[in-house]
Amino acid sequence: MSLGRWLLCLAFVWGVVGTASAAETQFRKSLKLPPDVAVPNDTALAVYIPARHLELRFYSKIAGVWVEPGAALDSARSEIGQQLFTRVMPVDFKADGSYSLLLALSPKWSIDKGVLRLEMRYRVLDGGGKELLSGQEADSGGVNAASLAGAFHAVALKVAKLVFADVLRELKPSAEKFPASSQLAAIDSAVLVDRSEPASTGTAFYINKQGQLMTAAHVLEDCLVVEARQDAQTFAVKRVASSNLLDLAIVESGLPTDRALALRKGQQLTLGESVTNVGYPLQGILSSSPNLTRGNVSAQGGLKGSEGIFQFSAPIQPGSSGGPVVSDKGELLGVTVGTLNASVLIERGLLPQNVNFALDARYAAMFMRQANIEFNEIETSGPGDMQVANAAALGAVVQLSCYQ
Amino acid sequence: MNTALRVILLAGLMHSTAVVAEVELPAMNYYSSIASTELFTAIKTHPAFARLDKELYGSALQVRVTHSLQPTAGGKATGFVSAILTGSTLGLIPAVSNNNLSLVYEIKVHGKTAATFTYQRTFTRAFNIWAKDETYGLGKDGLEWAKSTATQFAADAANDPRVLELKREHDFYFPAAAP
Repeated sequence: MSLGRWLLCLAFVWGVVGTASAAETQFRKSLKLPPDVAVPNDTALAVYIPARHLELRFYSKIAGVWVEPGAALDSARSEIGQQLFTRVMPVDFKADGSYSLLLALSPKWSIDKGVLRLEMRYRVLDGGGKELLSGQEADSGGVNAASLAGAFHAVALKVAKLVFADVLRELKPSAEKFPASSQLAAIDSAVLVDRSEPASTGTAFYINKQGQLMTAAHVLEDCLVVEARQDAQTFAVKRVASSNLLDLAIVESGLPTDRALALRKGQQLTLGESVTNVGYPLQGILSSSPNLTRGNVSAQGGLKGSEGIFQFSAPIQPGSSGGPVVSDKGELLGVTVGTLNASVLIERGLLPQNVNFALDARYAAMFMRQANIEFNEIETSGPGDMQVANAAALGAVVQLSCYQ
Repeated sequence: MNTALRVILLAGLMHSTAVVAEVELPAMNYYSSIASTELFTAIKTHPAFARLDKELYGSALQVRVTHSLQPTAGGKATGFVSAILTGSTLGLIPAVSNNNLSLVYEIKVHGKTAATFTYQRTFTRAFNIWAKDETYGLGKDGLEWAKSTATQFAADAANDPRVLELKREHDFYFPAAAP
């Protein structure tokens, strides 16, 4: 190779190194990182963002675009993470791989007067689940219809940079100080979840004497930890079977009970028959005691295209999902799964009242037979009594809290 | 190849063909954020999606199509220059854009994604800013390509193990009524 070419190569390498070094210096300066912290850092960092935040997306009619705050967080996690760390990975409980530090994020978006703001609480745990650091960072940016989609991305990047910088500044990590000896698949989800408030709440009820509980599957969606509460007693429950198609799930409490609801033998419904519904709606607004409502089986079908659903008129609210619909003979007739979206109909000038839906118990029976879940059927006679229904439903229900 | 083996292979082929032909997926609700009618028609042409419907609001199952149209890195610069030229000539010179179009087809069960199919392509498009656009901003080629993805999605989904498992579960709880 000629001398000229050598000099050209040298100049190129010099330029690249110089540019990288200048960028690193600039980065270090802007984030106020101490000189004894290596950047990019060789610590293996696993980053957890709760599923409900990652899946967040909505369609803006004004801008005519999909806005994806969840995707913005996800891309900020990888973009900023890869600039500051050599090994950064999302928490995936099924993935192979090891980590040394676990960064758990709890984001909260808000928009006020054209300003988009992101507050991010965070915790850093070591491989043993011990909390090493916690804190909060926040930043904001202007937003309008034209910049809506990009604004979430820009603000997420700014806040992610602040959080990652906190970790570097406060812990001064290195692969030597925090070796990557913990497995992603072995992460204890109980230490990871944000316990400050449940991601969602719902209702469940005992379905057999072993203490297994039935609920709607969507109540358990993306939960890392599910807790049940009854009579001021709180206990952990674990999913043992579920069907998204039926929106039905069984969880195990491990607490034998004599309060289980039995299904009506043959699972035949009578149009117009009286029913009791019990649930734990609007937690944080209403008292924590169960909410009992009365109504009738108002139709043996639901919305157009629904299957296995019947309609009832006993009022329900958010949090009632998974609650039992019980006959006046104390038999389980169905499981509360949803209500008519009143806001959509109100926009069209219609005001629906008490149009609520339950999964017919005959499908719950099929599901439990398929999943080898024990349950009872009863055959009763006589007219029945509201008191019987109320006592059976109230005795069987528990409140479920989902944590992510 | 001996005759017996040939017969077995042929039988296998005939069997798999028969299975594909027999698949009719359960009725599903349909939603699309773009070219709703065109994509609906293309998907419904496939026998597996014969029962797709835009008004099954209560169905647990949904085919949901969403899209994103983002300028490519080069497209941003091209678009900027083009906008200046087009603007300064009051639209006499057509505008030029270079976008990455992504169409995501999801089969959802009570809002939870059971299977996702993503199709992407980059398009360069020249268009008159005064002309009425009946292609949803995709251009003629873009719209044709979008329709082709609907056909492709229908074929892909009809043979996808996750979708077939969903059909099996649906058939268990809600078997088709005897004719």
